[in-house]
Amino acid sequence: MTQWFTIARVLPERLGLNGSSASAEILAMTLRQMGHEASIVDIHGPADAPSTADIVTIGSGSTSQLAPAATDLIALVRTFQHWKNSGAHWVAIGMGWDLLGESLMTAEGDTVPGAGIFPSRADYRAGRFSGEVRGSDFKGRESAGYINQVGTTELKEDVGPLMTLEGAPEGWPEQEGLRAPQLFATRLGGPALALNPHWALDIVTDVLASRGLQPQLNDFHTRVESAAARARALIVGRLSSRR
Amino acid sequence: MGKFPSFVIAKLLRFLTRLRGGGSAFPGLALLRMRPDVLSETLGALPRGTVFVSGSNGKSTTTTMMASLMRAHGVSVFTNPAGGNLPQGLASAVVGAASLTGRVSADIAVLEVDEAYAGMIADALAPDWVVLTNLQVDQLNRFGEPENVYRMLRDLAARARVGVIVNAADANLVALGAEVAAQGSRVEFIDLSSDALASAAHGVVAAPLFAEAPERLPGDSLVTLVSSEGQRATVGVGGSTLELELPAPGLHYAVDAALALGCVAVVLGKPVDLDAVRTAMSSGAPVYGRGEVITHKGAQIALTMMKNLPSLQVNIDAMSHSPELVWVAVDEGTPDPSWLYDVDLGPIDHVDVLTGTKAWQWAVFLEYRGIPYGQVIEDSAEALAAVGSMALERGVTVSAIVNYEQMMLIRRLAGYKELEGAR
Repeated sequence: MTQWFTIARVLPERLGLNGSSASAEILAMTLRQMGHEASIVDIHGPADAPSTADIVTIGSGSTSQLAPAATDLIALVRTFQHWKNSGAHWVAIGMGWDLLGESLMTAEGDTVPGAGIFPSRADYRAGRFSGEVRGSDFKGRESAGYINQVGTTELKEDVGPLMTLEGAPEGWPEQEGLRAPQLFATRLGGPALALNPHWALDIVTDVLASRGLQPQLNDFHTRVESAAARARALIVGRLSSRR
Repeated sequence: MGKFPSFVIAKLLRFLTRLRGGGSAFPGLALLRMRPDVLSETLGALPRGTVFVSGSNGKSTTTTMMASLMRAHGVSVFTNPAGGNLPQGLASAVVGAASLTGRVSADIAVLEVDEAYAGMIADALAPDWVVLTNLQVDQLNRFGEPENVYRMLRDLAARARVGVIVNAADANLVALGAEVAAQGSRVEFIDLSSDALASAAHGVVAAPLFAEAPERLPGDSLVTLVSSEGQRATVGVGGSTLELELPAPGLHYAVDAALALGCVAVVLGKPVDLDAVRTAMSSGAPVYGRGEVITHKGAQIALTMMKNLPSLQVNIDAMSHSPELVWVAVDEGTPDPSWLYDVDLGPIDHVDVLTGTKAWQWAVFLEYRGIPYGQVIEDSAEALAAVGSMALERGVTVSAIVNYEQMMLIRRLAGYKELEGAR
């Protein structure tokens, strides 16, 4: 039976750099292909916020967007807490993750308080890494993508990483991302969910389960995984050949 | 090494690399090794000075248009071929144009310069004028963030000995212009009417604003782009209105033309010859790979560059109908195609063939967009043969959406070997 799902996409103009706001579309398409309806609501401030959200997504941004985005998010903290208490699932990329964490230390050493959704702390004093990465995720599945981020993010003790990078770049932590019940975060770029449809399916499966539903996979999901597996294999091949 | 033997060796290298087929930046690299100051030696004393053209996109087209317009006014121009915008590319162009004694016979140098290398090139050759096309989200894998490009362009602009010309439809360039003007630089600009800006679905696809910008720059614009439709543009210059025919359709080409015209007007220091401008613009061919149509075994292939999100978006915005046969070719030259997910594909309702090492990433993207695609043929030569056959069977032109590296490869595979100044 068709169900309606609401995906809240937070500050897509400020935090949507380089395809990083696409998580909402990927999750919506994954749901729609299972026969459900999914609407994406762009959230620029409290006035845009629906009373409940099944999934909340946030993307990454450039340095100049850090202060204005942090300011905008302050006005949304109460909304976020309400969504969190009502069981929303959170998907965050790059700077959006860091701003929804507990705190973020800027390159200049200033501390920006986070929204407190993700149990993590970011530190932008470390340098930038830009390049393809591969590794195994928390279920041992081959996963891959592209990271273009500054700094590091430290997880609190009660949550685990999304994946472990194989052949992590020098000075870059092996542990990447965050995975916990209702929480998903990564520094992999925009189409992290697209290149790793197993993550999109995990999230959608959890969302459906919260309504007592099972995922209904069809040809679309098979085709997407097949194409994404070929894309990931090429990334793995490129990384292997560079060693 | 002495000037004469250096140029003899560099020209010999150029001859040998051209015998091998295609062009190369190698002779320029060798010349720079032998004579590190060769750019200032050869181009530093031209009577009308040096113009640098930089920005995220439109550098090649603007430079080509500018050179053409100056020549139409009787000015002898030295310029670098499209894409040859790194120091070695510029030096290679010098190898081709200079005499064996290292003399370049020209009134002015109009040079496309890569934004990341602009400072290094300015160290070697101080620009009189700096023309900035735009600041768009581009090559984040290389630049990190667009803010870094803003700083590069601002630092370049501050080094212009005479003045800076910016595209004032780009708010970041207005901010940049105001910043360097506050430091005492002369800043000129071209602007767009609201009608012209609205002629493309996504406008000029400028990057988000990074710095505080005034509403507009003080003074009058050199050129105003009044309207843009397909390959036609109307501009206002020096109190006159001029209809122009562009080498390819799209607002971005109209902006490039306005910038080129504005620069020519200010550098000449006298009213432009409207007939000469009209004739030069209408006879200009597209810069290779940018709206160019090539032929391969009887099949016509229209090349559309997707160097980055803005370049792809402005070209899609310029499409007047759904392309019938679509070929997408993208490889390692686009290390991170994440920006694809920000593209509005507009009239593109299918893709026939996907090619290159990033073809499968495109396939995933199209799946999520719900746009059907045909074959994935990773090898470019095989794909060229396949799309060529399809084009002949269907009696249509191939709309090839390609990144820079695939564009170079496809041109070479199709027998177009005159490229020079390759990166």
